[in-house]
Amino acid sequence: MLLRIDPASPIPLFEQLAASVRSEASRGNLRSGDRLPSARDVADSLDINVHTVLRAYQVLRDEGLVDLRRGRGAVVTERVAHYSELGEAIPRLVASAKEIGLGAHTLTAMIRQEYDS
Amino acid sequence: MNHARYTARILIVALIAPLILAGAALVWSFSLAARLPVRVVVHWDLAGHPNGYGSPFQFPIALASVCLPLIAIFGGAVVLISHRGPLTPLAKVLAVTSIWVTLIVSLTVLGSLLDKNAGTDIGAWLGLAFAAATVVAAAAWFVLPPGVRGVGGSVRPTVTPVALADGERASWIRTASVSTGMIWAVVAVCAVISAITIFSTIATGGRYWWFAFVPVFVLLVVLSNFAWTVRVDDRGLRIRSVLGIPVVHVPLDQVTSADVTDVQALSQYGGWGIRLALNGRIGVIVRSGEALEVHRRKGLDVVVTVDDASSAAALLNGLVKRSAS
Repeated sequence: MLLRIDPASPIPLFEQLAASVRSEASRGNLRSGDRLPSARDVADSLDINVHTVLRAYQVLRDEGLVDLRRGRGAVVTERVAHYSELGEAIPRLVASAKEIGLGAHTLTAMIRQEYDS
Repeated sequence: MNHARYTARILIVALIAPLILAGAALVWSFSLAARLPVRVVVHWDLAGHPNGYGSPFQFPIALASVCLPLIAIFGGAVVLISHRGPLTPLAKVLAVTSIWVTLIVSLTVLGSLLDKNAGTDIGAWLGLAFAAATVVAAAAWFVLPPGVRGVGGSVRPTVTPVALADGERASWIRTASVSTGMIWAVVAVCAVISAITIFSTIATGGRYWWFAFVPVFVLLVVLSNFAWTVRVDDRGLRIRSVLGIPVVHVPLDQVTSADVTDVQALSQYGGWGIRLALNGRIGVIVRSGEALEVHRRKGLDVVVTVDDASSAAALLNGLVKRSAS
């Protein structure tokens, strides 16, 4: 599983990590029952605190993408299928936004508005 | 060389010739043994002096019990390997070893029976057997079709690197492990060996009790080769057994590029676990199929069978590209 973070970004590291896992899920690189790498391995590899990784995994547990089980680590749930469906819709959405010259900022604003309505 | 002659050569060298040699030696040694007294020298010390006596029929029986399983396993493996893909140098080594050992054992057995002193000077026969077997084995090597090296090279074009910003950190981690079926097979084999060891320990009154640790040790070594964590980050490639050791590490500054390749576990690496392939690669092999191949500036290339190897290769290429700029 590919995880990417940018320490210079204003977005907190745990959010970036969770987004990274989500993006892997939406690209179809994760299947239900897959185990995420251990928090210790991720922390060591990215040279960040292990609690940051655990916090990211908790965020993903709260949204139902993974189950956290003692001794088994973070296991991807069946909900991952919905993420890959969404993952097919997003590139199309971005492509049509780009076509009419809308930036990421505008598109996000439009999505947020759709949520609130 | 047409295909029929190609397969015929492999079949003859790997199976038919050793079987005919062993069969002839077996028949001859039986007829020789029948003419000898009921008690002859059957064992010699390291200086070549007799120190054990027994029935002459022990010779043909030993011959059969060493040569026949050896020919069946080695020859069978060679025929299987060449059936599935090109003949690898490893398969040729197996085929030649089978005929070499068959000849040494056959000639030694025949020699000790033929010797009119009923085997009081085995040393000369051993030398003769060794020389003759080596000559025949060398000839067998050239009768076999040439081995194909470098199979499993880069079958797909170099993977496009991931674009990485300065200061961005990226890590790719995945576990590679053998199928559950294979793990159970190994556990079952170790259980049988343990049972035999425990039985023999009791039967020998506990004199060789430390032998009981052999299956445990074998199980640990085998299991340590069965599941690996493969990690790619700005320190390079690290492949670590889930038991902690062994570890294969390629620092990033040693990596020139990474590729995706296809691996045939048996024919290219001769099995599973940490392997040194005859085509000059270190392999961490848990199955056949998709694998990450890492080329090094110096030393042997490393191949590891892992799913989604293209992502790992793309990240490794991206990291190499960024550190070079």
